[in-house]
Amino acid sequence: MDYGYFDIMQMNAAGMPATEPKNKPQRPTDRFPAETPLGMAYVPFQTMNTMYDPEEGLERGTIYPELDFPLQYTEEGMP
Amino acid sequence: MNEKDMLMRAIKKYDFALYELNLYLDTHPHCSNALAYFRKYKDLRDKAVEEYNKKYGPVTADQTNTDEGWKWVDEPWPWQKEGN
Repeated sequence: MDYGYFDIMQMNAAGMPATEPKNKPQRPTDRFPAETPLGMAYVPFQTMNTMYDPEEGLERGTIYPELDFPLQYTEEGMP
Repeated sequence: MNEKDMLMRAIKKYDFALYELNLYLDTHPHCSNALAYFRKYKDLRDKAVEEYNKKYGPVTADQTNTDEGWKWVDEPWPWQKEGN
């Protein structure tokens, strides 16, 4: 079974889906408000949490940890 | 790093933080938290630029102190070795 984007996002450290896959794959819309239209792109809205301080932000290329996706994985493994 | 480089580094990091906050504020214009950070980093950046201008001259041409004429052209050009 190949894991879709939402499954990967919910995977735990061991790389297994957080919840045992039910017989019918979880509908992605479960993660979105009920009235989310089908067939349209939807980007989850960012909320402000912690931020890197400017020095680290300049290093990482963002001041928002949630948006810090280095292309190649750093030595510590998966970001 | 000498003081000039440290000041330039400070200007760069605050500019970057301001730009990041700008992107966030474009979609969250009423976020008081983001606005507070923007004010804070803007103040820090302006101070760093002011100090840099006083000691080492303009960072961008518009910061040229014209009392001494258009000193901007005396700075090394970006393609010159000492310019970067």
